[in-house]
Amino acid sequence: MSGGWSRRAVLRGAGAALALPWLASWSRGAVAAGTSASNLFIVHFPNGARPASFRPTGEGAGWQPNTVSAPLARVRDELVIVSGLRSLDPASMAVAIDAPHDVAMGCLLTGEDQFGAPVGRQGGASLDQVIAPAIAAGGELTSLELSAEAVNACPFPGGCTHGPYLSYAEGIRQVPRITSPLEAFQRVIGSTEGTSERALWRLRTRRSVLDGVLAEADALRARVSSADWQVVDRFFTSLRGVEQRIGGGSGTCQDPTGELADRLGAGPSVEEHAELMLDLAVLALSCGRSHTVSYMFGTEGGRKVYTGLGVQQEHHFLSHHGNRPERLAAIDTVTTWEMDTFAARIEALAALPGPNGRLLDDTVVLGLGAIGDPDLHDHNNLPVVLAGGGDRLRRGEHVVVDAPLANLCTTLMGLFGLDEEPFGRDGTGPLGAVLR
Amino acid sequence: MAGWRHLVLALAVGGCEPPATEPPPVEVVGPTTGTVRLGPRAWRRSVADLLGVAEPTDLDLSALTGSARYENLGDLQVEGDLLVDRLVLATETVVERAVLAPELRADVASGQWDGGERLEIADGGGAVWWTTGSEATWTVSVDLPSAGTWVVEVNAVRAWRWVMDDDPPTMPAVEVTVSDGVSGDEVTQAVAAITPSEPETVTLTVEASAAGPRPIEVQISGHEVWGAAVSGIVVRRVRGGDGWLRCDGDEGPRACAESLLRPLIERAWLRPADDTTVGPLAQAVEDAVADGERLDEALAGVVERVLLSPEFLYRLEAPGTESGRSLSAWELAGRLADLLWASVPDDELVACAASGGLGADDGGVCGLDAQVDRMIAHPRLDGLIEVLVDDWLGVAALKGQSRDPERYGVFSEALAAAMREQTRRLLDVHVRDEVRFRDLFVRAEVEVNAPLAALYGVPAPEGAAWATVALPGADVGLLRQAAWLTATSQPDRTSPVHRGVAVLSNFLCAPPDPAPANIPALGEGADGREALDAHKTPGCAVCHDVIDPWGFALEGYDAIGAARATYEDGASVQTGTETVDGVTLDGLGGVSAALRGDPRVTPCFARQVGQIAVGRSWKDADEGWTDALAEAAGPDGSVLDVVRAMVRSPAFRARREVAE
Repeated sequence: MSGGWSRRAVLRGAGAALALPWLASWSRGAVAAGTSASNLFIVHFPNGARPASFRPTGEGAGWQPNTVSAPLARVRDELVIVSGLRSLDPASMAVAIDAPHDVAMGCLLTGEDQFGAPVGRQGGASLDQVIAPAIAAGGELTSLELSAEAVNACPFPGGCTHGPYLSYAEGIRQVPRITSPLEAFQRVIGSTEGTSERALWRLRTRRSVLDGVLAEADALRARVSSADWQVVDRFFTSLRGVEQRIGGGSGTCQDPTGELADRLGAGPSVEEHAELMLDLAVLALSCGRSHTVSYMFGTEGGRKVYTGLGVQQEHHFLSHHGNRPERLAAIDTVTTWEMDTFAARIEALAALPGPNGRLLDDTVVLGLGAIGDPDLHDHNNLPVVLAGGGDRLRRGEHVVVDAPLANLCTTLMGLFGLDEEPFGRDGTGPLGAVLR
Repeated sequence: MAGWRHLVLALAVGGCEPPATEPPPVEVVGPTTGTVRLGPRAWRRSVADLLGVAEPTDLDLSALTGSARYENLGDLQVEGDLLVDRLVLATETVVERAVLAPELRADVASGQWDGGERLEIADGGGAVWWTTGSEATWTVSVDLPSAGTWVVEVNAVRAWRWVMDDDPPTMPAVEVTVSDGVSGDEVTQAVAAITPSEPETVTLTVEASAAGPRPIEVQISGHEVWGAAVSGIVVRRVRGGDGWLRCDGDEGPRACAESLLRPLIERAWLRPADDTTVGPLAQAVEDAVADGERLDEALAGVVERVLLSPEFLYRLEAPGTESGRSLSAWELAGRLADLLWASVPDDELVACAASGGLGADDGGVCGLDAQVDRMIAHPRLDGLIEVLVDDWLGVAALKGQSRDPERYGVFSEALAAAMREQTRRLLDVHVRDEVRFRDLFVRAEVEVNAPLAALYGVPAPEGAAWATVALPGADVGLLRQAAWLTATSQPDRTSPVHRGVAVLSNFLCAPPDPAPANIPALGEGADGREALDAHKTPGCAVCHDVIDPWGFALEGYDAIGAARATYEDGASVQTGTETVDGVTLDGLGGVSAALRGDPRVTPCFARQVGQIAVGRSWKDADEGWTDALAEAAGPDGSVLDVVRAMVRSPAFRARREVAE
């Protein structure tokens, strides 16, 4: 990492006193905006987390962390760790591809079988996309989807249909996810100094190009078959969506110290890429750029190599550990780092001011993996961590249940004032065990 | 069934004349036509051909990929916000590359300095200037992103003032020479400027015939003590080279835009670029320039507009009829370019479409046979070959694959790329030489580079060269290709099941039922057939008795395609098996011989070509017309015989639609 700034040094080494100056400078926008809306922040851990090294021992407030969950103990008073949640049973799904990570992602936050028509009342939309419009204040990005792994060549023969995507619109349609730090920076903050002229030109041109293409619709409709029109009409609908996202207002967030722009320019490493995207996620929440932010450490089934952690092999390869000690050690190193990085953002949210005190109290944080033991692609024993949520959640406790994840989705909808209806395909109702 | 199948055959080979009415109606033998969108490959190749840029292989186009084996099967393509979002970004990126005049900068801290002394001086304005002793040479390599005309600019001042804090009135000018390391062209200029904010610029024009690194040399000489100071170089593209951006705006922005847009629209939208189409776009360019926009930026906007239109992105033909409507010449041009080149038509094909002559059987240069022969002999046939390699054989899955470094330490991204290239060369020769298709399974000649030679255990060619070698023995042919053997394996072991399924699905068109969910994991270190005893349980055996023998017979090759006689634990590999139909398969040689002699092989290949050509997945109801292709090609037919039969068939030349 270039420059003198290090999140770790600020948050851990130097302590809260030093942390506050830059956190406070980040928060100016939020205070000025005077927003009182609640926030949802979802963080996805790709390739699961082994229950053998993640699941804490003991229940209730007396829980003790396991090896990879040790960093979470730092913020234990802010957390509810939920064990025993499961996503849809693959045996109940009409699985049509030999790509278990895609299967796991498609159902995770939708509670639906992506190989069939949605049956739940959410119509196949994911939890974040159901909540986002309800808590949007207007004028900001309705939701912001970030990931730290670009989608390039697909490692699986079945196609990377779902692995890179956490969020779904109705109909189980993947929501695009920003993977480039520069694009995320521009979406949250706007242009950096020096590129602004080009960025403004780009924005202006994009708008006029989309307008021009959309204006073609009626003429095309008259020329093509009705079957072709059905497909092309969907294209135009999506294109209108892109146009509306451009019109979603410019960034109100600021990068007052220029730290983020510096890190952007430094050509981030794999680890720094993840940290930078997470910082942009927290910044977007803190300044009200969006009230629903989700972040993926990488593609489910993804292949990042965390050389900065001393790990030389691809994440997905390692996740099929076969109980070999060296692979267990390496995969646990990565998962521990993810938990550490995640815990640091909970600390940041706790340190940032919100309308009702701390920003964390006004935010529901959901950290989760799509599979339990990655070697088995297990849909049971998902790693799930909740944080924030004011006084409603049983913070400080390890809650052990035997329930579908969909029921937790229902509970979270309730926390945002939505009807607590059963979620997805297998939800039965709220999961009271996580509430006080 | 057999009766009309023969009719199709007769039509396909020209054995009977079409009825003498105008326009000639087409027999109801073809498939119904669905909506087809460009897949990632066709999009990349089309924009590269249209804009004259390198194929943008670095862009994330995964959202354009459907779940199907072939990228262009409309019925299996998935639309949505994600797709459109990525298309917008990809289009902007590639148009910026092609149309905007980019600036490249090389810093003085980079490159190689020879001679003299150097002092690093900040000018207070943020730039760093390097000054040298009396004589010095700075060589820096600039990575040109495309062919074209580029201008190299070096800002220079005399260095005396900084060094001596004085500017003697008698000091002579220094000389700066900028030279192009490829052409040898150079420019020498006397530099008298002394103020960094008002430097002199030494300018050299460089013509690049291809993208890639370009060495630029800056020589500084003149004064006996201190030479010049330079602050790095800027390289600007001023004109497309082999690209389409040929107008400089001298004739005015509107005329410039029109001259660019007409050919672009005709190739991209497959229809005449009349004034009502081109006029408003050209006007938009003129207006933007009048508003102070740069010409290249204004052009970029309208080019994006062309490439983001559904007219480019989808195969939008006029509605068909229930009995099949003959395609227009423009539509036929589009389908031909799509099938043979995985791209858009070139200028000649467009000219044949515009004249209406394409498809006429008049023996002229625009006749179907003449154009197909021309297109087959064209380098862009690499599009069809790429489809066969990456999609049909599934070699695309190799990209980005990893291997257990403990077992397969020799495997690397470079080796995987060489494997794919080897299979591409194999298909390229086999297709272009029009060798009997089924002989592909027993072809002994392969091309190798040094790393592949080591993998195959044959003598290595020198350096980075490729050489053709004949593999010894019976273990030869398509399935001996390391790319195929690797693409059908797991990171740490072979998968007889994957290989068996691939053989059955791709070469025999007899795919087994999909695997059930929640298959239990294999134990540690599982490899080969020993671990698959579980397949013998009654529920599993139904499929695996069919699948596994084909894969077991190929166990003589490990997960990166190297020959082996034993597994890791020392157990010997057994490759003698028997299919459920009682065919003995003794190793790869047995599998290859069985495939070469299997009557299902050519009809199965005809189904692949049929899908690619029509843009819809094969259904049982399509059996008639795809079998007819195989019959037309004959048992000794080549790949291109099947392709020619396809192009001549009513299935290809008509659009059939069933009203809802």
